[in-house]
Amino acid sequence: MRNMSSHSTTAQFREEVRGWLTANVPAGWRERMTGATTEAFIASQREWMKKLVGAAYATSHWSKEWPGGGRPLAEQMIIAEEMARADAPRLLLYFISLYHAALTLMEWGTEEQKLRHLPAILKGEIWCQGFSEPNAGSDLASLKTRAERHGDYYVVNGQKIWSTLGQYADYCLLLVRTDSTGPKQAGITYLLLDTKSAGIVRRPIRQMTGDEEFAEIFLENVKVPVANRLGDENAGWRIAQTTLTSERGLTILELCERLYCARWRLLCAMGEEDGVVQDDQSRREAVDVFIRIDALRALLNDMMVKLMAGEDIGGSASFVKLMYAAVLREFSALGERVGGLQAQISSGFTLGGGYETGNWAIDFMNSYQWTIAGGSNEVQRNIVAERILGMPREKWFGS
Amino acid sequence: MQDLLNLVELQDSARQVLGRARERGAPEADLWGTLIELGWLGVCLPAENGGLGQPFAALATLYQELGRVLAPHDFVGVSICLSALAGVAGDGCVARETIAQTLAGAARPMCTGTLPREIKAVDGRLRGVIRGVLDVGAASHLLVPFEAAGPVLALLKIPHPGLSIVRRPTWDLTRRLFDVVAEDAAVEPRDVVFEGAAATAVMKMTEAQLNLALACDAVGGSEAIFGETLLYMQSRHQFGRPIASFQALKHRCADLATEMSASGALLIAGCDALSMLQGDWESRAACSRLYAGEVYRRVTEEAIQLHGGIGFTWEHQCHRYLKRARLNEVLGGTPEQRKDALAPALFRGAASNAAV
Repeated sequence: MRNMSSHSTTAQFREEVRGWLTANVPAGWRERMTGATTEAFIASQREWMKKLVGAAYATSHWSKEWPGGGRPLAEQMIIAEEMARADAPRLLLYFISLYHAALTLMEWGTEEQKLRHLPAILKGEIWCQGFSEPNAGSDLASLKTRAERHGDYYVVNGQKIWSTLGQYADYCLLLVRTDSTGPKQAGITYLLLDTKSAGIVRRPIRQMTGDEEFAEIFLENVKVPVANRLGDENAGWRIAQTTLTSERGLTILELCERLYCARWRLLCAMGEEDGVVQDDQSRREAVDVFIRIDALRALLNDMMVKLMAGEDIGGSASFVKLMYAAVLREFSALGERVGGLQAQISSGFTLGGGYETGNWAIDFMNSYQWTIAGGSNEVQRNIVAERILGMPREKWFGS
Repeated sequence: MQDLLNLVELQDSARQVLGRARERGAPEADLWGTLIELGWLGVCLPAENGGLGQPFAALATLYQELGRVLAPHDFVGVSICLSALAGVAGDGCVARETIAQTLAGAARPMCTGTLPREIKAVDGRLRGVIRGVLDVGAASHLLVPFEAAGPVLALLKIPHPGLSIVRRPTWDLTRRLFDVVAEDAAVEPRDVVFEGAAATAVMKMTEAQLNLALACDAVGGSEAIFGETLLYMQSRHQFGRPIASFQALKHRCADLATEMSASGALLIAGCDALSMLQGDWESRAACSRLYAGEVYRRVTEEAIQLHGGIGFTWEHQCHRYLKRARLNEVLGGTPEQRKDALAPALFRGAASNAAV
């Protein structure tokens, strides 16, 4: 990408990462993970995590007192880019642990909490996020899961939903309501929940693809020690903002690079790898999608340059997310269409293979994760309209 | 290497100059004189031609500002022609003199197009038509591509016997469109500035610059009419509140803003690639134009709808932008033809990742 490999040390680091990935990306992982069992996937994710932690590439975004931490953003970006280019497996199982949990703990955790969890994460402790509820999605602050203080414990009752791989998690970043009297944001507390506590039932959610990447978490009189509270009581909303912005563009960077590197799959789906596509409409639509992938990367590059310069990116993240979601949808929809009947024949999905596996029907279905999760397109559009374009809020909004 | 101009300052001063000209209702000739005085034509020319040697991004900034105010195309046509001529200016030929005259305001050489197949030379006489050339009505010279034994670019002084410049009325009222018709126009050896491989190389660069210039026009025009639309939506009240507060309209604006920011980013990347002759800079320029052009068309279509009745009137600006966007998209071929031409290079690039 532009503007970021001027340093010879940066170029050197890229070579180093590239060399390591060449030697360490498990050969044939795509074949093995296509149609694999969940158990096999979990096992392979644990192995990959171990390797990445060992090489100090899993924690480059951590602060410098931790192993592998303290790398400048430019180098973190190189790792993400090279992972995509080497077609390495995505580290889905540890995503929340390495970003959301770790960065939130580093900013808000007590020394004790940090020492309890950060080394454990390096050894493979799995975290999930317990934010959304059945009736608190886009309007997250209206969450109702209650925590009542009883001496040294909170007693928690309620239900969480859409926890990524929550069924495998050891711990959960949990937002609970501790006060319902004032503004809804002011009564939220942030807890670190041990998922082995009594009173927890976890149920995987079967998605339209047939996979189970999310879980519901039911909490009935679950005791959480006050010592596992992050920050002050009723100060959870602000801490949650750290969690929600912990990725600092790195995830979307990796995903954009993966999409860029996977363009050839669309040519394959059109059955013409030699660069000549006979069908006029397919050819032109593919050109449109490829141009928009380039535009997406240029847009993302602008955002990363600003981030590196320490500038406020304002609502740019919403532009990037909206654009990525749209382009991913177009790419997979075109793949599914030109894939014809073959794309409708069910076949095993590549676990950890990202959003452009070439299994077009599933890739298309999964593209909804980007128009719905992490702030739906509709919420992103409100952010763009109000924060970037300065359009007024509707009267009811935010009340 | 000259110091880099601060593009934000360049943009500010360009916007002021063009804004004042617009307020005065200055005739085109006045505006041209102002641009010559400000030295805009020399911004990206090499120092040995009396230019400032800036990267293409500086010119792109000016193109965008000209696009914002729907300025005529002559600045673009002349500056692309100068960039082509600068390539041969080392040997004291006619090109160097023409550049100097142009910077002094005494000449107005313009490029016409990049497809040599449209005009053929037989026994030193040109025959054929280049259709759809913008704003060459006041050109002093035309840089005409034609096919002889190979590709040739000749700089013909206007008027030139056998060469006519025929006005074609268009819906777009912000520029004038012409056909350049050659009927047994003689070409002397001293008119020829590039031949063979050199001509091909200059045509490629000219094509890329024209693509980027039209992308700049689209990005600048989109921003202007979109900004105006937002202001209108803030001031227009219905049902007791500004229509800008309606979510259905906000979401449409958010989508346009997203596409505009993406096409703007692609354009900047395309300009940088051209300046550094990096990667597939030709394709990137073509991509920039296709995408920015499509976004411009959508923004101008939506601008009319979001303005409601007033957007449909002759007095309001909306239609001027819409018509310009429409004409931009079909200059030198339809978007579909340009996508077909671009496909092999883009697909080769995409296929190169498959080996990983």
